[in-house]
Amino acid sequence: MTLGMTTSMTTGLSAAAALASIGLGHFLVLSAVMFTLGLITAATRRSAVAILMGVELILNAAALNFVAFSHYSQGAITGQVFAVFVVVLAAAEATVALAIVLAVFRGFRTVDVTDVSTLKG
Amino acid sequence: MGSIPYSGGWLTPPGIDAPLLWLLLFPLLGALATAILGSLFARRFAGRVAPALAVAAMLATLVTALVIFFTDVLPVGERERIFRQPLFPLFVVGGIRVSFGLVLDPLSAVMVLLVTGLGSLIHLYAAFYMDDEQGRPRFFAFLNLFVFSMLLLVLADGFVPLFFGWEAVGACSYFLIGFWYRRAAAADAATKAFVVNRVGDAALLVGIAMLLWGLGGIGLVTGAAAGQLGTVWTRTGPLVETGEGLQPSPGRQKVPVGPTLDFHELRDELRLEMMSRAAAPTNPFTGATADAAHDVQFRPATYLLTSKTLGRLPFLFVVCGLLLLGAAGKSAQLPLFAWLPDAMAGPTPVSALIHAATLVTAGVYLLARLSFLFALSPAALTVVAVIGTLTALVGATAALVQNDLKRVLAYSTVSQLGYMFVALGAGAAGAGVFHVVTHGFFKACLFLAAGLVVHAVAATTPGAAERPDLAQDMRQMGGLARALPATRWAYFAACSALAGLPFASGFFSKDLILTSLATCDRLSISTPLLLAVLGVTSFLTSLYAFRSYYLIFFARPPRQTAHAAHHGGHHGPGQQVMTAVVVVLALGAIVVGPALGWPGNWSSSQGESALPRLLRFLSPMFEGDWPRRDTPRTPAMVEWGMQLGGALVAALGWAVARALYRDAEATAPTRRRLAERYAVLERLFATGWQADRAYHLLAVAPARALARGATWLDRAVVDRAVNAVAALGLRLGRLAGFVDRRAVDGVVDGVSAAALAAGRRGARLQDGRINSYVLGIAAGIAALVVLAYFLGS
Repeated sequence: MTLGMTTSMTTGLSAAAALASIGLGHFLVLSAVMFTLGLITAATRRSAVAILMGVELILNAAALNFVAFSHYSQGAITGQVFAVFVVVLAAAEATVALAIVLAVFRGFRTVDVTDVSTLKG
Repeated sequence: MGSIPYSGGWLTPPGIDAPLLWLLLFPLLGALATAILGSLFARRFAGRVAPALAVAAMLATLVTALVIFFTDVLPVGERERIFRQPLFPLFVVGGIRVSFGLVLDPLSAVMVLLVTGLGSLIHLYAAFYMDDEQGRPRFFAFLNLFVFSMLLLVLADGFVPLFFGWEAVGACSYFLIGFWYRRAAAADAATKAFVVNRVGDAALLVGIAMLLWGLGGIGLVTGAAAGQLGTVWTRTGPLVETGEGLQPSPGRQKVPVGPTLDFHELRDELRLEMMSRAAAPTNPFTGATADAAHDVQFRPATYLLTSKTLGRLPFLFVVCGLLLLGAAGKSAQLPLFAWLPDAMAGPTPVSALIHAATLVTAGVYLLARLSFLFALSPAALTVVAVIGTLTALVGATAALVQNDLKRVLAYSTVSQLGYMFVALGAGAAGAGVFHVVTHGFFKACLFLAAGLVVHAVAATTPGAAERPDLAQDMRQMGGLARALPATRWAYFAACSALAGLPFASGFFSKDLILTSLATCDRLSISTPLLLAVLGVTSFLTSLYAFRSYYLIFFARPPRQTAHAAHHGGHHGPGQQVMTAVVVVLALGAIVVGPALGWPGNWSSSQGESALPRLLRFLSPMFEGDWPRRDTPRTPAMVEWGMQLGGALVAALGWAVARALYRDAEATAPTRRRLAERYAVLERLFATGWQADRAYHLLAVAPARALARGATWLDRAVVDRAVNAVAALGLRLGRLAGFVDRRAVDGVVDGVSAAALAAGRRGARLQDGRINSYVLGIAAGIAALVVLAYFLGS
């Protein structure tokens, strides 16, 4: 896998040319940025809902990687299929997680994860 | 080869096999069965099982002995009467092989018959005598074991089995003397007998060891002897000089040479040397190492034994002295005799067995068995004779003044054993054994009769149950002649035998002893002196014997005793059997003497056949003990003189006793006057010449002083040392405690504190915040990725 095409992003070309000049490296950078943002969100936010949103970002960063690698390595649509699966999975996950958050909210009257603790110490 | 005169009885013939083990098995199994079955069935059969089993075992032994004697021993030629049954090897030390075997020769045959015969009669008597005693299984088991031990002792073929029997006899006597162990007197008497015997046993053991050592290393006989015999004799058998060196020779002429514990081997070894000395008048010991080619030496056992010295004493004298001390312990001779009178604390049948058949005859038997060895040391023989004479005198004087009937008989045994030792000292072992036989009969009779008397008295004397000595006090008796007629005549017969009245058995044996002494010229002490002392002793013997007779059956008749004796005591079959046993023994006390010892000067025949029958039977045992000269036939004049003198002295004693004690009330003033005049002597005699005080001064007091010294030493030195060690230990402990607290505990505490701190630190990682977990996971994965990047490529 080569990252050598990223240099073409800095050159000002026409839209199509620009589109054509978009390579795997761009997708990977975008995906990494999304992943990092998701990770930061999940690691720093106290709200459970926000953490869920961070997890969604991480999932989608991964799905983007699937599509990009699939396209650039084989030209097939295997990546897109996987992305659909990830989206479905994320929807299911969000459903369950939000239900848990709701249940937590009922019990604790808050969705702040630092306050949701019954352990001593 | 022919140089060894086999037919002359010099050397032991090869033994004939005989089932001798049965003689030991019957009493041994009897003892076991009596102990086990007797206890098991004690309730159901009113305790009759134990006596029945014991008597049956004894009768079986007696029958075995008689069968062996008549079918094996008697038919064989006089000099071939050696029967052997090797049992098992015991151990090997260097070149000495010690095995456990049995041998029956004329000497042990006489002893076996005596032990089994008298033992059976005494067992039979005891079965009824001990009728109402507790602990009969124990009693009869030990009685059987006693006979077993004695048979082992006399059948032993060497010192080692003999010593087993010797010790077992001592142990059994301990148990039986102390049968009434709840009585302090009985327990003390048992302990005393055991301890005094132990002194003798220790001496015997040392004597045996020294004898073994004195026989030196393995010696091969050659030189003068080899030149004479044409053979070389070795420990394993004769080696013959052939063309190809020394080879074991076939044939029966096997004389082992070297240290041995076997009686017959030892005897043959000494005999061989005697012969070679006789064959080569020039000293064969000097020109001995002739056979240089085979590097053999001429080391005759006799030379080894007689040439050594220990300090200034001849070696052989020391050895014989130690063996003598052992024999004196068992046979109650000076200085170890004081235990025997005390041993009366045991039941009467036990006393009879100890005095007549077992235990005390063991010492006489040992010396008779070793007469060939003692013959080499005239000094030792002299000591034996002197000790015997003195013991005879001391015993007789002590017996004269006792009031306890059984003590009279006990001291009488001491005295009679003295006579036997005199015979052994005079080199007339046959006469000594003869006296053992006659004494066995009349002393067993006296004791068993005394048992009947004591039972009769105990049944009628108030308070006798609590004080057993009361029923044995002759002053309590008297006038029993009509109540116990058969016992009285039996007692009289035994007394005449003891006193040596003519035609009773004691007369013959005692006369034979005195005659042997009179004609003995090997002692380094004047024999007339010994004879005079023994003559006085004979008078005293007669006096005390008939004193007891008249005091029991006549004297003043305290009417209630005599009257009650009709009604008291045992009646029924038990009484009859016991009386029958006593009568049989009384008959024996009369008949045995003339039957076995008809004097030579009374018979018309000459030479060998004129010898008393028992002596002729025993002669192969003692023949050749005296290498230098043949024992001359006793001059008839001496024999007649001794017989006449003995009879006169005995009759005189009888007469005096009759005059003094038959009618005690009439002679009371006379006796009182005598008692006052000789009060000092009486006190001396009554205490057995202060033997107990002598023991106390010589042994008990030093032992106590030693114990006290040891206690002081213990307290002053040992305890102090122990305390010092303990104090040191305390200090060390404190130091160790300090170190422990400061150093060891510190380390342990430090480790635990470190663990605690680490735990606290680690707990902070797990703070329960999801955000930090997520961050942790991310950081971990990132770290792994970085690691994989650097390592993976």
